[in-house]
Amino acid sequence: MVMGKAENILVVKNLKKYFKTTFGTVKAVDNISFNVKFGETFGLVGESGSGKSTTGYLITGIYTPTSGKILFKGQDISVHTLKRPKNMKKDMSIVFQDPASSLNPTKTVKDIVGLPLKVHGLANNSSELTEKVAQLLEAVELPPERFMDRRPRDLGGGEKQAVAIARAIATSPSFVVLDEPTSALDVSVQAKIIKILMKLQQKLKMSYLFITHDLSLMRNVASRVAIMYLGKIYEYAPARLFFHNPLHPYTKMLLSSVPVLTDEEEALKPKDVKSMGEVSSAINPPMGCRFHPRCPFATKICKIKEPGFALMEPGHYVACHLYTKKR
Amino acid sequence: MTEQLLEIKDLYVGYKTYRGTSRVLDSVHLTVNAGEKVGIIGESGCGKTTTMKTILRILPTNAVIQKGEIRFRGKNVLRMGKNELNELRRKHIAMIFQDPTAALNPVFKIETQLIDIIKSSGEHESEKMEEFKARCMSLLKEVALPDPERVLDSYPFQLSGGMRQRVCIAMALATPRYLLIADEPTTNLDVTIQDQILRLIKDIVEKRRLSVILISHALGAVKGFVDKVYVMYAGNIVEVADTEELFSNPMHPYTKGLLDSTPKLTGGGFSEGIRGRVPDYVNPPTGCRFHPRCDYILGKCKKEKPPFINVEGDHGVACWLYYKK
Amino acid sequence: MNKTKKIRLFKIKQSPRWEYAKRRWYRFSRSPLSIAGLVISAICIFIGLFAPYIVPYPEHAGYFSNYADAFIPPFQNSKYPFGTDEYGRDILTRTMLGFQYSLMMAGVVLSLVVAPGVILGLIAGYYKDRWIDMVIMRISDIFIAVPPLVLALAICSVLEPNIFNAMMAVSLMWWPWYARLTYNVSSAMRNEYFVQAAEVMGASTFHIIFKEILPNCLGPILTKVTLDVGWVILIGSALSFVGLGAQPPTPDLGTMVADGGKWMPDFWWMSMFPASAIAIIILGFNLLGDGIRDMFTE
Repeated sequence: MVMGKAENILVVKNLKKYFKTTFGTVKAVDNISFNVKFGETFGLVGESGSGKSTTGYLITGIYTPTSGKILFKGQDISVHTLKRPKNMKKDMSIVFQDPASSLNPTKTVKDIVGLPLKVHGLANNSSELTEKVAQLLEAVELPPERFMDRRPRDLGGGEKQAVAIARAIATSPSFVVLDEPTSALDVSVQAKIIKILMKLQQKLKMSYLFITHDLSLMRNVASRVAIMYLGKIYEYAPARLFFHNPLHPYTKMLLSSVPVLTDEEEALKPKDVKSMGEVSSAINPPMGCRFHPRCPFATKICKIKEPGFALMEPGHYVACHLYTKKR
Repeated sequence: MTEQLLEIKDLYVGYKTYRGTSRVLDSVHLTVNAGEKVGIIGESGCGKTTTMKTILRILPTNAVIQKGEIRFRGKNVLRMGKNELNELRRKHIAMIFQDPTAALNPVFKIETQLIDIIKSSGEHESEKMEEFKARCMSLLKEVALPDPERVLDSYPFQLSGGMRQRVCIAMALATPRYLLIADEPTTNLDVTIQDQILRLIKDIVEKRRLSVILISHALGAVKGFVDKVYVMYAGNIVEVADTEELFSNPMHPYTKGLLDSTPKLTGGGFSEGIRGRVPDYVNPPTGCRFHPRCDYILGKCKKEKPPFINVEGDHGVACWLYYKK
Repeated sequence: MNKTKKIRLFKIKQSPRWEYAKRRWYRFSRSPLSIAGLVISAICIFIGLFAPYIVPYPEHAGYFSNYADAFIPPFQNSKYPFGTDEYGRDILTRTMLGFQYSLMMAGVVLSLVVAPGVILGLIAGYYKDRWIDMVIMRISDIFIAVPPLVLALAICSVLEPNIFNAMMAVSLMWWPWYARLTYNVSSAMRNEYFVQAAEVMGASTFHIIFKEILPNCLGPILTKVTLDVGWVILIGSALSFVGLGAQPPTPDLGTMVADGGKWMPDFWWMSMFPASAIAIIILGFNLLGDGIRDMFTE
């Protein structure tokens, strides 16, 4: 999995995040590694407790890694955001899952979108700031005259998220973490927001880390996908291979549970695995392969030893004992 | 001849706000027959939850029922007195809400809450504690909860989201009912759990031959479950059809817009969504409420509201495009 | 092109702010009690500000005696509507002047106490679970733990008993409540996404604490300030009542209640009117406080 350095905007190596709680240590992210190439959309898929959001927060520095490295454009940034150099911060931003709490309810849209410009000194005076904010609002399809002075409570979910996106791209970052940006939105609004995100990615040449649990959405946005379960990555593949040839039982289980509308989609869903069981606790994850309690193909070795990665097709890696033998 | 269980006719409901009274529900009509499974699709703010709350008369204090009637087994719910309403809520209609955490009382054990519900239906008052417990155990087994003893003895915070929703389903089915209303029962749950819960509800409903109203904004969840689908927009029913028919032959531009916006597992991209936003209910658009967002607009659409008509068999739509004298 | 855009933006700027103000007023005015509170508080403040100019007998404020007119009961004649005290001083005049002292005490104490308390609470909340949080909140706990009157007694017995020292004593025991209130709000707000977003984009800690978190705390703080007007006046009156605050002949409401207490129940009006005045001020500000809380609740 080692690629040429110049190709990758983000390299994550052996990243771990453990939280100490009164009930025990929560191993939210447990030794994951992946890369994001320049200009691509890398997808991270998983359900609750998988650690995908935590990964996004680790990359943006909201959490400090327990161990492991995060390299952004070659620079080691494995520390909390408050300890990172300021000029690096305008190069990376995040869009959160809940549009309502990602905007300060006491501020106007102009203040919210203008803040990154002010922080990084990108506007010299108030009229230049207004001008730049207006441009950003137009880029996310919110007419500036109507939205500049509104407060978040007057905006619909999609509009709030558009404001959050405008804020995230204000400093023309090269990398944006999108943590379930459309999960709280209706399907027609989601379509609009995703189009805006794709358009902006082209225009500003950004790379995205796209985190979601919605597989149908992921299919249409990501170029490479990794699936996480209880803090570990179990399969990576280019998008087409991930969906047309899923290998890991969990991937298959997730795909088979997706509600679909057309018959072609129904045909794509794996038939050999049906959803069963619940996500185990991250405090005492199961020994060996963490998925074994829910896996219909679990064997003795799955309960003892953690599987390593096997390269099955170009770019397609899977961590499962079913495949490590067949290499 | 199937018996008509629930009929909503010409319902108008609004809310009092500082800018005046809004008109949210604008002549809503809906029928559910005995044993039928009906789905309501609509996005947030379209009035589906308002409609459901009106059926059970649990609207907030600033709501105004402006016109219309809701007939449940022949009786008009909107004119029911306190006793009749209580009977309706305790014995006839059950509701499952979107957020199981909010639907359960955090300071009481599951056992207490379940027994509370069983007792309040009034039918088993004379039973003893052991009998209640046995009843609870069998209910929890029916909703496929592993280790029912432990669950009964737990508080809601000790259970996962999926387990809480199963408990809510058990509570809804604790006593025999005619109608189950499920308001986005799986939206807050993980995808794999969603699938399990929907399959569970489907099994139970079929076994007990209940009627169901399933509300969702996830089209796929509704498709695998219901017989008939109502599409709602801005307080209007804009289209009704049998499930297969609706998804293969959508008529109303809004329905088409929704289906086009849904990303497909097979890839291939999806549309740009539907332009515009949900209308302001205090000053709703004139004529057809969808016209500001519609790509197929005719002159008439701005002036007159299209009536709801049956176009082909049971497939009905409220749109001037399909109106032929 | 830029100029026309600027003018366009400027014109539209006017409307949303007005809209928000109108909405806030609507939320406030929905309850008639809040309006009543607003009116009562306004009247109290008016009396407090302009008392010396509108009272019928300004000279009755200090040392004055007119034994001929002493002990006149209220509602008898228009000369002394509320009656007179043992020195023949008009109770109405002295009660109205008492408003001035009471409101002055509230004003001084709250202006001394709110800013430091809020700032400490904000800092402790932002750095929750770090040492600075522990230090600030434990110190404020110590001040809260001591019964207010005991603390005030202690301070006033060491220093000279007068209204100024009474104000200092009350201030010293009041600040922790603001620290605690602000701490609760700011420590909850600290983990909200918009604060994380500000951190990730590189905003300074000063900006985050004072420009992001503080505006969200204003609702509860303003409500508390309004309600506190009543409480501070009550405690101040209690101190005067035990002789530790304003000393006679100052027409402080608490002092007047204490002095009149000697003459109860025969000459009830000497205590009753000042006591009612205290009750009315507290009632007015409490109702106003409820209204302000409604204003900030969606």
